[in-house]
Amino acid sequence: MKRVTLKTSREAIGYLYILPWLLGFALFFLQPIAQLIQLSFTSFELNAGGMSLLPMEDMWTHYKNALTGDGRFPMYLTGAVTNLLTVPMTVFFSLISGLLLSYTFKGRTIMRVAFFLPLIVSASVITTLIRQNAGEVVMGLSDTGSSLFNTTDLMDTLLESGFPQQIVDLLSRLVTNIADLVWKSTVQTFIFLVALLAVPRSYYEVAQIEGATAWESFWKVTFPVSLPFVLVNTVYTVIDSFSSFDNNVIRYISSAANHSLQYDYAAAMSWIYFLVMTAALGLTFLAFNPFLKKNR
Amino acid sequence: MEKQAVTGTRRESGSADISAAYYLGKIAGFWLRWFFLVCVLFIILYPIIYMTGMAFRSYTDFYDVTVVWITKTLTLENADILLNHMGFGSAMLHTLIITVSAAACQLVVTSTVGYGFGRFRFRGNRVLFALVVFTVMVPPQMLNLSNYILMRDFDFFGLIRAITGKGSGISMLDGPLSFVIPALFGQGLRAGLSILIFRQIYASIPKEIEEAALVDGCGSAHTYLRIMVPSASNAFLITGIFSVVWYWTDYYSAAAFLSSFRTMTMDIAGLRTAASVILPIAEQNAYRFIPLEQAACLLMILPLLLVFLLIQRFFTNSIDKTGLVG
Repeated sequence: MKRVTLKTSREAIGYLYILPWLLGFALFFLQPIAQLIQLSFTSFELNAGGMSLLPMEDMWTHYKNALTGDGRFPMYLTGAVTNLLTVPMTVFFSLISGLLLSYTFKGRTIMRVAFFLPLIVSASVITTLIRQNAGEVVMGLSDTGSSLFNTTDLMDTLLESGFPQQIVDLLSRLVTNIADLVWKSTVQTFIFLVALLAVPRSYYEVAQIEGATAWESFWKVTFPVSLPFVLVNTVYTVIDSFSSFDNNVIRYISSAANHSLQYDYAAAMSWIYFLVMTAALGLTFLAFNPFLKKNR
Repeated sequence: MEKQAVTGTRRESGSADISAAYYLGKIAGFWLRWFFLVCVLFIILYPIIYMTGMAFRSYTDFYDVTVVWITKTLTLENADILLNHMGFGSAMLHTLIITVSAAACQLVVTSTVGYGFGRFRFRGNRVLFALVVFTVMVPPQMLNLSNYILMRDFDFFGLIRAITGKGSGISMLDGPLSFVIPALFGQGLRAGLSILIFRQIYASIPKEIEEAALVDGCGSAHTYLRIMVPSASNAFLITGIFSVVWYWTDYYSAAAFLSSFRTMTMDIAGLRTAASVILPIAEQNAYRFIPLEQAACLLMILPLLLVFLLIQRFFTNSIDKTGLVG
């Protein structure tokens, strides 16, 4: 009889815990993904008998088209990558917000609810409606930017009162960016809130007794403890930035698939996009790896 | 004098300076915090004010140029039309059924899967976990077509055909099952994110706690339920809330899988078409549609806000609560 060691039995139990996910992955994910791969290398045609997939002479046709023939896709793609520059700022902002919400102070309930609101309001249906409605009846809400917050009125007032154009422009961009930051950091803020609440109070008490200032205890206690969640939030922010319905690439791919029925071409674009996304996420994990190893 | 004595015990020298700087810092911190929070509040509340202002607006007020933000006569006619003439109530019920059942399944499954990834070293752990992250990366819109075909003739690895003996599987479309079954297998809306959160939470709980329980003869499942789950109570709260919000406000999957089983988002997206049927032709314009749409949005977000209001006070220091410090 073969002896079962503790290590192998732990391994088996580990597989048991992730079994539901493994089954679901094979069932609901692998199959569609395989179809998406197949689609990207074939020519999709819709005819009277339904749809048919025909092999192409050069299987990379759609990929080549997307990268060289189509002027808009590379442009949108670079735009999406440039958007990643806001990721560190978003994560830092949500860390500060999460920290503030973890304190006990008067009005905390209202603040928590307020910080929770963007999560609901940023649902695609609501955002689309508010923008559309505001466009129909001018209410001072922007219908172009990704933010639901408009600075036009404020900036007009400043211009009229004699501020130079450049300063007003700068201010306007700053305010819009901050508004964007607030709207995009809800999930991250609450993840940080949960992470920070998991820090035992005694850590802070020790730091205080040892004579650490608030600044010091932030960097020596709060930051190291929240580091694993900085990773979670960075990953989430990258994914969110890449897959939000506001994203031009996603819009372009969806319109190619749903309006022009070019499913094959849309699939090829998706794969290029996933490759870029995977590279960005891979870099994120690599950057965090040395810090996380130390913690274990 | 008393304050100096207190700070004096903390540090030997310069106690007076430290106490002055300490209190200045506290005051500055207080005002900075409130400045920050109020700025953020202003940005966040902007669309809410718009929504509320529109939802209670009567049809006639639209022709009044003096009305910008707040209506002169508060009216419930928009909510009345929605609930009593457009069947928005049944859409709310459908959304509730989907949300509660799917979010509950998602929470139970993703937490156990996250525990498996965070606590067990098995071959392929890292590769499989990378695949979990990959599932979040793919927007649901891209998988919906394939999943539609899959669910129209659902057959669990040939098992359903084997049991019923019929030549076809069962259709899960147009019902809550099309949401519950993927959630049950860890493939619900952004399930990968929940798994990611749980993995990190479980990985950050000290190893000794679990080992002590195992040594004391507590089985694996028992340790998980009695020791690990209570320590991660905050993670359960937050992922639960996220899942509820994502199912409640989901549009893409609902539009793909449902037709007569209508959810709120579907009703809102198709509101103009539906309203055209019941409204007189003279009233079929933006001035009628906008308040209706915004009232529907408000009806959609209010329950979520109430739930969050009730739940948020449970966000407390979880480690202290379960008494694991010592």
